[in-house]
Amino acid sequence: MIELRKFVAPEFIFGAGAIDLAGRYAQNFGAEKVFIVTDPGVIQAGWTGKVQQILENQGIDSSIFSGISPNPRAEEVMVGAEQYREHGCDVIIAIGGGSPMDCAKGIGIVATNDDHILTFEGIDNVPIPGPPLICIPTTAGTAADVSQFAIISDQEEKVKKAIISKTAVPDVALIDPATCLTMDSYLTACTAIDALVHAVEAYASTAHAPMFDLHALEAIRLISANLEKVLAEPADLELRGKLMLASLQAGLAFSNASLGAVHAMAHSLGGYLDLPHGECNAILLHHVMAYNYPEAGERYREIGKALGLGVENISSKEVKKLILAEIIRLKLSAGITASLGQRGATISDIPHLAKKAIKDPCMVTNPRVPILRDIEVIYEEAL
Amino acid sequence: MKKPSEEVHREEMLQRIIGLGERSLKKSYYPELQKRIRELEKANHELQHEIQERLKAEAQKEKLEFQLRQSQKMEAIGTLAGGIAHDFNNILSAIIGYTELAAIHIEQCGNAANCRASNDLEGVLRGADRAKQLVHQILSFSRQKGGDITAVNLEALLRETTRMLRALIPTTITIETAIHTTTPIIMADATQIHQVIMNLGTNGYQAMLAKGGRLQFDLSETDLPVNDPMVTNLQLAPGNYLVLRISDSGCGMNRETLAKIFDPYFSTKIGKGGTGLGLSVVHGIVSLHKGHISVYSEPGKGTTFRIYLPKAEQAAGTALVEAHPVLQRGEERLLIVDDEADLREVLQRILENIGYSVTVAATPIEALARFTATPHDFDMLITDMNMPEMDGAELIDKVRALRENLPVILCTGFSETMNEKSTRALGRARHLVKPVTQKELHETIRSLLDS
Ligand SMILES: Nc1ncnc2c1ncn2[C@@H]1O[C@H](COP(=O)(O)OP(=O)(O)OP(=O)(O)O)[C@@H](O)[C@H]1O
Ligand SMILES: [Fe+2]
Ligand SMILES: [Mg+2]
Repeated sequence: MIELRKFVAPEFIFGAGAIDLAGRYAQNFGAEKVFIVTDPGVIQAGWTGKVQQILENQGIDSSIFSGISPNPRAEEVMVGAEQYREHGCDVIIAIGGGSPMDCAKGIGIVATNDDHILTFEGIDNVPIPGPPLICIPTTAGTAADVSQFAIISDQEEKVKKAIISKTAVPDVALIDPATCLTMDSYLTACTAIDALVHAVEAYASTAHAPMFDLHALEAIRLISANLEKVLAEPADLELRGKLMLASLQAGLAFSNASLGAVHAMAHSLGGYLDLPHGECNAILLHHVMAYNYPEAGERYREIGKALGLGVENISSKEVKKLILAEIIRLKLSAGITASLGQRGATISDIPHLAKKAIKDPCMVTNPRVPILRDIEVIYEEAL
Repeated sequence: MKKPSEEVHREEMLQRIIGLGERSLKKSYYPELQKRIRELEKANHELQHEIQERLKAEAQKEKLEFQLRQSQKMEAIGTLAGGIAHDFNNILSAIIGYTELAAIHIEQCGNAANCRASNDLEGVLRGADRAKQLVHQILSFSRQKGGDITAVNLEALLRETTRMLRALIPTTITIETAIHTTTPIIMADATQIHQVIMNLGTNGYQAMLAKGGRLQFDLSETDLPVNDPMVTNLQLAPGNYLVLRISDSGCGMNRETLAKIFDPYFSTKIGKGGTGLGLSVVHGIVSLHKGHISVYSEPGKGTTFRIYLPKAEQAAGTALVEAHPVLQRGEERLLIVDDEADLREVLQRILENIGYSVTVAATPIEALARFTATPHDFDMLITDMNMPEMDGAELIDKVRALRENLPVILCTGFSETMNEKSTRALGRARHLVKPVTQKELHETIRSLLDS
C-alpha cells in the first residue's frame, strides 16, 4: 500500500458530443494545419469528414492520411511521417480504432525523432515527444487514446512490436460514445473482449497497484454486465456509453500496470496471421488464464466476483472452473467462435509464434514466468 | 530452471514499466516548445552560415599567405640568382673569349685535319650562347621582367634541344621525336621554352636512370573551340594550340607526389642534386605564355607531360641557326680597361686577332695615366663598369675631359645604373652586357667608328 507508484493518464473528455471539442483543442495547441490520421472504414462512417468540418469551422486547415492497414505497419508510419512533414502540419488528430491511433503515435514519434519507427521498440526508448496528439476513439476497446502503448506491425519479421513510452500518451482524448454507433456487431464483440483482456491482465499483472485495480475491476463489471445487451440493442447510446466507459477504465488500468501473456501472444499471432487483435485475445484468454491460475488464483477470485460469479467460500479449483466457463460463455455468446486452427494457424507455426511471444515486453508482467515450451503448449491448446 | 540473469533482467524491465525515474515531458507546453525549437533552428542556421563564412575567410587567408610566402621565396631566389648570375657571367665571358680565340687560331693554322675541332668549338659557342641567354633570363627574372618574345619555330627549337639532350643522356635511353604539324610557330621567349623542354627531358631521364627506356617528344596541334572543357575549366583562350607531349617510361609517380610536383622546392631527389625548382619554373613559364601544362602518371609505368601553347597568329619563319658571320677587319687603336685579368687578355687577343692594336690597363687609374700621357694615340676606350677605385662611368667622364667625343664602349655584368639608353645619352657611346662575343664587340666597334 505504501509502495511508490505513479499514475499516468492524459487529459480526457468523456461523453456524448466530446468529438465537437476537436476544434477548440486543436486551437489550444496552436494548430495551423492538422494532420488527420484515420482509415477508410472511419471515413466511410463519416467521422473523419465531421472532424475536418469542425476544424474548418475553427479556421484550421487539415490534411488526411488514411493509408493504414487493420494492423498498422512500420512502412505506413514512415510514409505518414513523411507526409506530415511535407504538408507542414503541426498537430495530429487520430480518429478511429486502435490502428489509426497507434499509427498516429508512431507518426508523431518519427516526426520529431527522425529515425525508423522500429528503432523505438521496447520500454521508454523515445527521447523526444511528438507533436500534440488528439485521439478520438471510434471503438470501445483498444484504449490507445489513454495508453502509453503503440503497437506497430513489423512486416519483415511478421510480428507486432510494442512501443511503450510516456511520449506515446496522447495529449487529449475526446471519448465520444456516439462514435461507437457505427460499429458492426462482430467489431463490437472483438473490441469489448479486448477491453476485458486489458482489465484481466492489468489486474493480474505483477505491476498491479491499488489505484489501477479499481479501474480494472470496474471495467470487468461493466463489460460482463453490458456486452450482451449492447449486441442486442446496438443503437442504444446509453448502453454504448457503458462499454466505452469500460474501455476507458481498462485502458487506465493497463496503461499503468501493463499486460501479460495474452497480449504478448496476441501480438505475435496478429503479426503473423494478420488477424484482428480482439479476436486473437478472445481465442487465447481462457487458455492463458488456465496456465496462470497457479500463480494468480487469489487475484482471479476477485475477477470472478467482478464477473458476477458466486466465488465466495468455494475451493480455488472450483473458482477456476467457474471463471473459465464464464469467459468461454461470454465470447461464444458474443459470436467469437473460431479456434486458432480455423483461423489458419498450424502446428508448424507454433515454435515461431512462441519465440516471438516470449520476447514481447507484455510478457514481463505476466503473473507466471513461462518458458518457451509453456507458450508453445498454450498455442497448441488454442489450435 | 531459470537463470538468475534472466531474473535480474525481468526485475529491471518491471521497474521500467512501473516507471519511476523515467524522463517525462509535459506535452501541453508544446506551443512554447515549438516556438523555442523554431528559435533554436534559426540560431542554428545562422551559426552554420557564420561557420561557412569563417571557413571561407580562412581559406582566403591561407591562399593569400601562400601567395605571400611564394613571392617571398621567389624574391629570395631572385636575389640569390642575381648574385650567382653576376659571377657566372664573368666566367662565361672567359669561356666565350677563349673559344673564339681557339677558333681563330685553328683557322689560321689552315689545317683540314682540324676542321672537326672547329666544328666542336662552334658547339661550345652555341652552348655558351645558351648559357649567356640563361644568365640574362635569371637576371631579368630576378628583376621581374618579361622575356624577349619573338616568333619561335617550336619544331626547330625542339630538335635543337633534343640534340643537346642526346649528348647528355646515356644511350640506354632512346629519344624519339614525332612532329604532326606543319606550322609549328609560337610567340615565345625561345630561351624559356628551351628551358621547359630541358627540364622535362631531364626529369624524364632521371626517372629512367635505373632501367633505361624511351623518352618521346611529340608535337601536334589542336583547336580549342569556345565550349571546349579545356577552355571552360582551365581558362585557356579558345583558338589554335600547339601540343607538346613529353613521355617517359620511367618510374612514374603516385598520387601524393603528383599533387606536389609543381610546388617550389618539392623534390624526391633532395640530396641527389634536386632543387625541386624545375617544374615550378616550367609551370611559371608555360603560364607566362598563356599556355597550360598537365601531367598523367602511373607508378612503375611512366609519365606524360602535355603542354598547350597558343599558336602564333601569322606563321613567321625564323632562322634559328645563324649564318656564319664573316668578320671585317679593323685597324684602330683601342684602350681596354678591365680589372679581371682573364677577361682583359681575352678581349685583347680577340681584337688583336682581327687587326686592332690594343693597349690594356688593369685599373682605371692606370688607364687614365696612359690616356693622359698620349690622348691622341687612342681611337676608342673600352671599359668595364664595375671596378674598384673608380667605376667605368667616372673614367669616361675623365677621359672625355681630355678628348671630347672619344668613342667609348661600356661593358657591364650586372648593373642597373647603366643601360643602353643612358649610355647612348653620352653620345658616341655603346653599352654591352657581358659576356660579349667577338661578333658583338666587332659590330659595336664598327658602328661607333664608321658612323
Ligand atoms: N618524369 C617524371 N617521372 C617521375 N617523377 C617525376 C617526373 N617529373 C617530375 N617528377 C617528380 O616531381 C618532382 C619535382 O620535379 P622538379 O623538376 O620540380 O624537381 P627535381 O627534378 O626534383 O629537382 P631539379 O629540377 O631542381 O633537379 C621530382 O623530384 C620527382 O619526384
Ligand atoms: Fe489490446
Ligand atoms: Mg627536375
